[in-house]
Amino acid sequence: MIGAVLLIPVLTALLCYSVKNRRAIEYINLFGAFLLAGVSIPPIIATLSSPIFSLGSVLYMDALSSYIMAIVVLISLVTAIYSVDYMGQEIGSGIITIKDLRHYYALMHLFIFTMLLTTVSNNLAVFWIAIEGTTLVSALLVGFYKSRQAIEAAWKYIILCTVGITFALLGIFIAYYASVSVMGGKGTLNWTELKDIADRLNPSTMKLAFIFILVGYGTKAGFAPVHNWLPDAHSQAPTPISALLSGILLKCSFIGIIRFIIIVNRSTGVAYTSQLMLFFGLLSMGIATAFILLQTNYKRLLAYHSIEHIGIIATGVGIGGFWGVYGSLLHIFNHAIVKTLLFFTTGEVRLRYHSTKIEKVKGVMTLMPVAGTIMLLAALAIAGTPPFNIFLSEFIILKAAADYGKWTTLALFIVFATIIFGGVLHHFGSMAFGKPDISGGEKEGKTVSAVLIIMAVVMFVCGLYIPAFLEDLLHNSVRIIIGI
Amino acid sequence: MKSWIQVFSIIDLISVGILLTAIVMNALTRLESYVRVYTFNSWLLSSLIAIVAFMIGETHLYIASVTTLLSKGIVIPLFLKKIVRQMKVTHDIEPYISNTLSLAISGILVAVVYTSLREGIFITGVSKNVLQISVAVILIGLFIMITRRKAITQVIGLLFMENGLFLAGFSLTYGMPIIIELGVLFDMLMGVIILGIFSVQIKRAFTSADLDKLTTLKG
Repeated sequence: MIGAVLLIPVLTALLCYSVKNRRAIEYINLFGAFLLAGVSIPPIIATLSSPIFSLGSVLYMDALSSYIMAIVVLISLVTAIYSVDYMGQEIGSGIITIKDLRHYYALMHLFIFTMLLTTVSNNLAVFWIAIEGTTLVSALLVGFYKSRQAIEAAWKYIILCTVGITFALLGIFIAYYASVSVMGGKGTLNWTELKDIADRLNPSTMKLAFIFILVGYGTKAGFAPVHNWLPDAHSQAPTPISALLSGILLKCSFIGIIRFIIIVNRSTGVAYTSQLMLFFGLLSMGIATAFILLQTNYKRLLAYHSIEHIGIIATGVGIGGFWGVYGSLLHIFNHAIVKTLLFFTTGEVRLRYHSTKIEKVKGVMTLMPVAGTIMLLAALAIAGTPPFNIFLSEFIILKAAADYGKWTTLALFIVFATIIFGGVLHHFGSMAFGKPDISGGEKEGKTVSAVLIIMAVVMFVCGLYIPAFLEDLLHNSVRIIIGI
Repeated sequence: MKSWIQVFSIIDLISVGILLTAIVMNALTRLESYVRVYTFNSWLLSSLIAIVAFMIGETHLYIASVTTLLSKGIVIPLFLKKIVRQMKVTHDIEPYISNTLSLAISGILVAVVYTSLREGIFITGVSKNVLQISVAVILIGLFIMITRRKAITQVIGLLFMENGLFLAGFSLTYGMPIIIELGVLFDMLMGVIILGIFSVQIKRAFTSADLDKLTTLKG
């Protein structure tokens, strides 16, 4: 079952690359994305009762993998639908050629494949290979437009993330060494086996390994202070790819840290990892806050929001306990939905206004009623306004902080969130309202509007209640992380 | 022959060679010599793995040695040479700091690594020095990346880091299972190719291969 999920995006990528007709490429892309969504449902449901192994024990799926995989598949599906319209318009205005389009779809589906591989790899080194794979494939997508800025962003991205991830590999070597000392002879790199022997692993060795893992995957997840690549890459990539980068890639890397935390916690106790996570979480939030206020480019603004939200997610894990982790995991889903929505709507804005400067954009709501309204709603949501979904997960994390008496965390969290709320209202308010400088052109596309409205409904509904299926996945995932 | 290896401490000899090839980079001024030093470094790494494979009689280490030689010792250097020729860059490196200072800092890096890892939390079995040397090589690679301004020098710094990393993994546990090493090597090869493509594009878009022109994105 897992094999099919992994095979479909690869086949789709190959087909997209070999076909030379624009319509055919687009249909293959859509067909592949829908097929992937369909095929991934049975294994996701199956893991609710028991984990699945595949390919010996190299691939493994439990509720946590399923949860992330569900998000990856969902965001990939909407991105595939949205890409047809967005890249279609780029072709229409002569910015890219059919050859570029083939490359785009082939790389996009390969990118989805590498992200899916991160969710199902049991072997820590296979996870590493998959994460490095995501860097390589997405760097080509970041440099897609071949402009000076795009090449610069891609170069920074690939160099910083590869250096970071090199340290993560050293961390994996050290963990392997620790397992060799426990098991003798051949050690293990399988997460399931490491978890079973975790309480016998040498704590100081595991602490050292965790530092390297945190630096490595933390670079890729966008933790401050090694976040410099992120605003560049997210702002230069084609908009649908920005949604994938921000919505799910950061989380895939974050899950690598989580999987490691599960092992390290059994060896060293919870305090060590949770302090580090709290520190990097709050630092990321703080640095993002400063840059959000000063931003003049809305795509970079959204990128800094990603840093803020990965900070919130890390803070939730750092607070720990059932509800801290629950809030974090829920926030992963909520942020994926809202950030994708924001990138899609601002993508429409960019296509219409031909600029990513905030000051050049005025009166989006007049010019594009659907996209403009949803952009403003999503901006309110990302700032943590009730009744949207981000508010719910942030509230759960804050509640956990209060319950466990982490008052400093609580105070800093609220201060940052309040400042960011002001910044978001200021920036997006000036974009949404006012009188547009340019005249209204063609109407908004029907498919795009439909996708936007459906996602906005999800954003709204998940702010009011959590569907039973999602709740089950979340509960099982939290149990895996905190180990009950 | 096994006793010969021990008598002449060949393993220590080769790993010191690996460290020296990394340090020598600080004094070089031309891109071609960087590629040559990297090639030599990879050959030393490969022969070190082969000798340990012979000592402990592990088949998978022989395979690791051969794949290292093929990929890092032959394919990647040839590709880098091609890129250097294709870019027609001025071949001088023009580092941000003088070579003397650069050498001195590398020396300090090695000393710091040796003092901080003196306790030897990891007993390697092969040699007491290999882990320290590998960490030193990783740091020197990083240092070269920071202080040199050509795109290719960053790639070579990164490759030195990976060589150091392989050495570290090898000294900790006699290397990973062979499938994993092949996967990591594959990623590395792809990475070098993609970085090569981008450095050609940098040269084309910025009409220079210097990375200090890459300052359009800020804040």
